[in-house]
Amino acid sequence: MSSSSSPEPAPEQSPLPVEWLDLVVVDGPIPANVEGDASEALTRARGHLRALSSLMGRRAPDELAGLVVASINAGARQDRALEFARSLPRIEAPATLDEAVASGIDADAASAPAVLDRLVEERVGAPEQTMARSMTGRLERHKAPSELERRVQRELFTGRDATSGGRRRLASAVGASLLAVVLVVAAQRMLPASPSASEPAAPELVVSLTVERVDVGDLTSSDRAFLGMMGGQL
Amino acid sequence: MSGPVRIDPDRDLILACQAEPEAGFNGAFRQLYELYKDRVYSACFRITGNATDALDASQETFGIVYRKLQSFRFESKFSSWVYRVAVNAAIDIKRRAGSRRVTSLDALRGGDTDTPSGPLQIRDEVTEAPTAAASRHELESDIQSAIDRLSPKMKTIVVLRYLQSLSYEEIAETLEISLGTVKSRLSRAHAALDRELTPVVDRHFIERNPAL
Repeated sequence: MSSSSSPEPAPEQSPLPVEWLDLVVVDGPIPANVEGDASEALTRARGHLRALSSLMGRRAPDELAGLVVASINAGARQDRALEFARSLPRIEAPATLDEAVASGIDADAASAPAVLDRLVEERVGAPEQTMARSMTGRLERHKAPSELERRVQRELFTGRDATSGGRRRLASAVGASLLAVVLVVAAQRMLPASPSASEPAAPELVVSLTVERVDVGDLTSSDRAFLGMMGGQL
Repeated sequence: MSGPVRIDPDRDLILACQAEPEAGFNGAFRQLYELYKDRVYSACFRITGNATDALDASQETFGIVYRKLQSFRFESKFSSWVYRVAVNAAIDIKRRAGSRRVTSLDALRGGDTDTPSGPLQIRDEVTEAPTAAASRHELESDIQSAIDRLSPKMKTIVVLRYLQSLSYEEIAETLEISLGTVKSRLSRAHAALDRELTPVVDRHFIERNPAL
């Protein structure tokens, strides 16, 4: 379609009178008795005809024959099936059928499952939730892709690392505390002697360190060596 | 419409079809098909505006014609009945299709060139110069667009009158409306064509051929 050259809407024109429809031909002069607006309308109508006449007929494609054959055969098969069904002899229902159906209906009515009351109550009481549950229950279950398992395993592994990291941080804090105590002790020893030199030697320094709630299993080999050096007991 | 007053030109063929109801597509119905296939397809194409829907409508038309042919009693002209079935099928398929498809320029191109059948004239594109063919395709596309914008009633009467060359009486019989309604509807169709087609005419016929 040539949308790039969409024409301006034509102004309202006077309609072509019905009695001049026969004058809508491709060629030939406008009759003298057709004047004014009618003449213009006839001229435009002839233009329409000239344009429409330039459209040529469409040849039916070859595939149409095959489609018609398929349509005819399908219709013929349906007609034959219908005719055959109509020709089948009518079989009378046995007299006991009514009784059997009636008794079956009674039995069904008596054996309505108890759960029906609850289901109806739920449906009436909370229709949206019940409907949502019912509909989601019907959703097709999809098997988890193998990629999910890989991702979960990767996530679990990363989480374990995070926990171990926490423990390491705790052990590092304990180690840092012990190092600080050692530095303090060393500093005290390196201080000049006190003015009362006559006094006896400084008493033995006793470092008492109590670490609470440390999981031994979390201590590194350096933590253990340090504690051993300090005379600590594990 | 009025009763059986004239001899239908297709009467012998129709009677032959009715005499062999089980013959399927191989019997006289094949001749009937060959006689009408281009007219039916062409009318369906102009009403639906695209080849795919035209094919569907044509298939449906011939399927209906085949199934109902046994009960055809010449109460109307056979060709009018076929056109009525085709027009209804095309309008129905066009309505169902809605705007889901866009007509391509390729689909708007003419078909193969064999011997024309019926009143249709089919252009021989093989001998047409490329520039002339391109110009004609553009014109055809614009005209078809204008037809597509008409209402189904207007479109139908324009196609039957000016593209299928049916007489007022044949149109009246085809559409099962009175002769007066045919003419008044045709007059209104020209008013609609004034809006849709006159700009196309001005552009293609007058601007390019100022002498007209």
